[in-house]
Amino acid sequence: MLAFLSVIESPEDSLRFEAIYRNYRDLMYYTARNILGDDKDAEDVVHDAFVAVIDCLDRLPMEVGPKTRAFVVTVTESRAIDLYRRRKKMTTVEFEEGIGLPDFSCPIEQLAEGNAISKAIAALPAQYRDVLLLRFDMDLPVRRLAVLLDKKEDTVYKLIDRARKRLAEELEKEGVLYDG
Amino acid sequence: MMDDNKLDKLIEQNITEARSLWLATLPHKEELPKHRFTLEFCYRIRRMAGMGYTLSYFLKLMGVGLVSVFLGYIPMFFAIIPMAPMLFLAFNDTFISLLGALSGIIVVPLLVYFIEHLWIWLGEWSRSREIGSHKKTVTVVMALPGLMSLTYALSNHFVLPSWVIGSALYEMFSGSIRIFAVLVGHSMYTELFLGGSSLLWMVLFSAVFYAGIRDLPLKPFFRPLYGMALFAGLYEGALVLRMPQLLIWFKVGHLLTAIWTIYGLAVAIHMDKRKRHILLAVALAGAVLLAFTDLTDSDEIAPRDIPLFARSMEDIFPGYGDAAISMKWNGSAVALNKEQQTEVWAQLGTIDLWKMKESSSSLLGGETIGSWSGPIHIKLEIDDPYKPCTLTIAQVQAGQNHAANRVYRLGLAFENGEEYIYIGDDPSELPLTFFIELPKTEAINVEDGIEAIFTFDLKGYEGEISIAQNILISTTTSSWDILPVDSLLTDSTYTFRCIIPEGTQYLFIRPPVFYVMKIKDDRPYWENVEAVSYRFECEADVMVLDLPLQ
Repeated sequence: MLAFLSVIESPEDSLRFEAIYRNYRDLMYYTARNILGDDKDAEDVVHDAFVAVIDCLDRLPMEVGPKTRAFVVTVTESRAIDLYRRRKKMTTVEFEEGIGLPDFSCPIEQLAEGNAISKAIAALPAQYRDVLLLRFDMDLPVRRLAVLLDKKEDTVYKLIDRARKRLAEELEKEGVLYDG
Repeated sequence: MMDDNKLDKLIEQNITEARSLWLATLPHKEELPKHRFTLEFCYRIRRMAGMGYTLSYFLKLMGVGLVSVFLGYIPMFFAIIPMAPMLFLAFNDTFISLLGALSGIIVVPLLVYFIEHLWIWLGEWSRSREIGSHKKTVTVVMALPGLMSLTYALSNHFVLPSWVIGSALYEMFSGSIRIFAVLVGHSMYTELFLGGSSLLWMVLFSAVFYAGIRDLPLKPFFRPLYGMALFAGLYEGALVLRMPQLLIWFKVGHLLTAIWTIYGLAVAIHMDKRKRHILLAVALAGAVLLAFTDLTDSDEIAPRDIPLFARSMEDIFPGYGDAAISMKWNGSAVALNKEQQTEVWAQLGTIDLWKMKESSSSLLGGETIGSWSGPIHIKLEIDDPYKPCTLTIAQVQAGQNHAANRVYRLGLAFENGEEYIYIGDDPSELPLTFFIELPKTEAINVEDGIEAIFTFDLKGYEGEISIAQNILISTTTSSWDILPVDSLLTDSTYTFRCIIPEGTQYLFIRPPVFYVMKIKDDRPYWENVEAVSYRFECEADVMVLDLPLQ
C-alpha cells in the first residue's frame, strides 16, 4: 500500500528520484547485501529504502551529493539491520543492547584523518551512527525519523539517547574533552 | 558526563566531517559490483517512480472502457433483438463493430501493459531496464510500427500512389501493417476511432507509442479515449435505430473527444503549453477536415441505411401518359431524412425487342421523396406503357458519390405485376422482361393457339445459369396468364416451347432470365456497370427468336 502512496506524480520529483536511483542503487544494494547476505532480502530492503527516499525528497538537495549519498545509505543500512533482526528473531531489547548483532561499525583505523569527535561519530555502530546522521545532518525531526525508520517515536528517542551515551563513552575513552 | 545539549551541539558541529569520513570508507560507484536486479524489483521501482502502471490500474481502465462501450451500444442491442432473423447479416456490421470496440478497449491497455514490460526486457541490453535510458532501443523498435501505420494511413487516406513513398517501402510496411492491424483488432481500426478515420487512429496509436517511449503516465490520454469509445457506441446505436438526427451529434461528440484525446496525450507526454496549443489547433483543423470528408462521406452512412431486404411494390398503374407507382418499404425507416436531401430518381431504360439501350440518367417526372418510411409515390411519364423499362431507384445524398449508393431496379412492364416487380440491391437478381410484339397474322391455326419456340444461344456464358420457367402471356393489356412451358436446356442452347393463344397481342417473357454468375473473365458481372451492360448486349447478340407461326 505504501508503494501506491509513494508514487511520484510531479516530473521534477521523478527526475530527482531517477538521479538518486541511478547513482546509488548499487551502493544501496551493496550495503544491504553486506548486512543481510541474501540477494532477495537486499532487493526488498533497497525497495523499502527508495520508498522512504520518496517520502523525504523534500529534505534532499536538488542535486545528488554527499548528503544524499549518506542519507540513502543510512536509510538502507537502518532498514537492513531491522530486517536482519527480524530474520534472526531477535527481541527489541537484544537489538537495543546490540547483543547478537554483527558489528556494522566502521573501524576507526579505517577512517581518514579528522578530528577525534568526527572520527568517533563515524566509528559508532551503524544503528547509532545512522540515527545521529539522520537527526543532526539531515535535521529530521523525531516524528519523521520514526516514520523513516519504521519505529515508534519513543524508540527513536531511546535510540538517539543511546547513541549519545555511546558517543560520550567513546570520547571519554579517547580522552576528548567535550564539556569544556 | 556532559549534558545532552552540549553533546548535541558538538555532534552538530562535527556531523558533516563525520559524514565525510564515513562516506570515504564506502566503495565508489565504479568499485561496486554490478547487480542485476530482478524484473519484479524493476517493475516496483518503475511504478514507484511514476513510470509504471499497476495491473489494477489497467483493469480499472478496462472497466471504464467496457462500461462506456456498453452504454453506447445499448441502443444497438435493442435494435438488434427484433432483427433476430437477420443476425447473420447484422453480424457483419454492428456486431463486428461492437467486438472491435471491445477488443480495442481490452487490447490497447494490455498492449501498453505489455509494452511496459517490453521496456524492461529490452533494458537488459543496456543494463538500465528499471528506468529509462533504453529509450533509443525502444524508440527504434516501437516507433517502427507507428511509422508504418502512419505511412499506410497516409497513403490510404489520401490515396497516394505507392511510388510516392516508394513501392518497396510501402510493400514492406503494408505487410507489417496487417500484423499490426490484427493485433489491435481490425474493427477497432475502422470503427472505434471515428468510424474509419484511419489517419487519426494511426496518429493516435503512434503517439501512444511515443508516450510509452517517454515512460510517462497515460492517464490524461485514456480518459478521453474512452469518451471516444462511448460516442462510437452511441453513434452505432443511432445508426442501427435509424435516428439520423442524433447521428450528427454523436459524430460531433466523437470528434470532440478525439481532440480531447490528442490534447490528453500532449499533457501525458508533458508537452509544453505552446506546443500543446499548436497541437490542439492542428487537431481542430483536422476535425474540420474530417467534418467535410467523414460526415459527408457516403461510404459510411449510405450502405448502412439501405434496407436489408427487398421491398414489395403495392400497386402499379401503368397507362399512357403518367404512370404512378406506389411502393411501400416494409422494413424499418431509412435513416436519411429530408434535411439530408435524400432523393429518389428514376432512370428509365428502354428495351426494344432485343436490345436494351443505354439510357441516360434523368428524373423522368420522378418526385423527390421526403420520407423514406411508408409508401413512396413516383410519377412517371411513360409514352408507351407497354414498352418495358427498367426503373432505377437510388438513394442519393447531396455531395455523395453516386457509385456508393446501391441501385434498386424495378422490372416495370405490366400491371398487377407485383410478384414480378423486384426491388433489390443485387443486380444479379434483376428479372429481365422481354416484350415481344407478335406479328399480326392470321396464321393461327393451332387449335390452342400459336406454338412458339424460343431458342436462346447460351454460347458466351460460362458458369452457373438459373432459368425461370414462367412466361407471361397476355391477350389484352389487363390480364396475364402464366403459360406452361416445355423447356430444354442443352449445353449451349435453351429452348422452350409454348402455345400462344389465339388473339394474343403481346407476349411478355420473363424467363430465360439468366442468372449468369460469371462471365469469361471470371469477374462477377455485377461488379460494375460495364459488365451488366455487357450481359444485356450479349444476350441480345446471341438470342435468336424463332416464332414459327402455323
